[in-house]
Amino acid sequence: MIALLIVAFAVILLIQVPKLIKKKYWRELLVYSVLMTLAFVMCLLYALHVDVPNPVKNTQYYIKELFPFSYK
Amino acid sequence: MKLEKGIITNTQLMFLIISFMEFMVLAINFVYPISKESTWIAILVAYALVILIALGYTAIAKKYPGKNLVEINDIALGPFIGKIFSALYIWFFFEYLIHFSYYFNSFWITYIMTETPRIVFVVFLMAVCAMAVKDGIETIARCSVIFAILVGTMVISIVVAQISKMELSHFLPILDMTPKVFIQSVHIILTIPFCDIVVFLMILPYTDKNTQIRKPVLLAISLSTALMFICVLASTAVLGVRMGTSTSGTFAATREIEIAAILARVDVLIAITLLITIFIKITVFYYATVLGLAQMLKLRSYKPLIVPIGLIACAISANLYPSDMEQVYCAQYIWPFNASIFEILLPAITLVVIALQSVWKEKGAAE
Repeated sequence: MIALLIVAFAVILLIQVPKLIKKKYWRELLVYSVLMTLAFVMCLLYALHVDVPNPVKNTQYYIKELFPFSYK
Repeated sequence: MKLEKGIITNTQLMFLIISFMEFMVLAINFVYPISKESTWIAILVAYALVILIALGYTAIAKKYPGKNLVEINDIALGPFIGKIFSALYIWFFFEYLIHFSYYFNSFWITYIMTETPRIVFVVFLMAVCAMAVKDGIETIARCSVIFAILVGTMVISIVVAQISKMELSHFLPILDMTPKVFIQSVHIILTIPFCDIVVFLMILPYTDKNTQIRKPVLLAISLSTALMFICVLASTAVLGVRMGTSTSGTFAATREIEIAAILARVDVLIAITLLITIFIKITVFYYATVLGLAQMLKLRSYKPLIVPIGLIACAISANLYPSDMEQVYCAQYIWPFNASIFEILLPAITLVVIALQSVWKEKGAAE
């Protein structure tokens, strides 16, 4: 699973990074690398079955606390 | 620099919104356990409210023709607060993207392919959506014309096939609930299937007549609400009190169809409806997320962001909730509050600021 993940990421990078370098999109390359690193870490944690706190699920629970009322 | 060079016509915009909103024939399932047979009344109230809110959205877009939400925030609220607002909106669109892909999977692995791991559906769905996003708004709008008609026809034909199973007594008792429960069901309908059209503030500037957007938006909302309304009436008439116990009322009502022992098990039509409508939903939110992020970070193209955002979305949505019931609970009790901030509060602040600015300008001009 992990080997498959690394191969998949390597293929994506091999396809996309040369295009960005060719067009001299340096700012885009920086954002792309940051997001790709984040994506790789998240996919790796998922593949390793590590239980990470889910930002999308958790923030909505916090936001709900801002309201003085709720449904029950 | 303009990141999206595509232009869609106002008719295409209308079909895009219709196909985007047609998902509500399934999203309404979150409300059935709460308002049961009186769901149709809650829909009428929510519809009246969404028209007012949509007038607000179009007022924002008409004030700055040719500018999308991120640009409007920058101009109206200043570069600093505008950036915070834009970041919040982008986060919200991303949240929706994740939730819809989770919903799609949970439906698919509950009803159709029970043995398949969740990640398989997420990856394939996201890959198809990424292709659509890469081709830009014109392609998405062109697909939506076919999809809107297709889904509309399928839903209407399902309703017609259900006629023999309908009983008017299933509508009774009417409004058998406390005011709080009624408000909750209106709130859910308003925030989940209706007000997510806030995302169209990212798309409205790319129409050819971007000062005449009010008519297509309101018409699309009305047509898709009419479709959902017919669907809800039919499901209520078929299922009655059983609506509260099913996780997907629309699906359960479709399973009842049996015409002369030949035409049965047409529930796969609902699965196709789900596939199509979710595709449009996810594509529009995906597009808004990557376009907004690229604009906020001042990039020259949004295309490099498509793959990383899609991969992050896959990783998060594959284990968003421990069980499908938690998503249902979340949609009923948590999400309406979360969504209200982004769909009602933030646009209201923007609208008030725009109104105050124009009042000051008029005063300044008069003096």
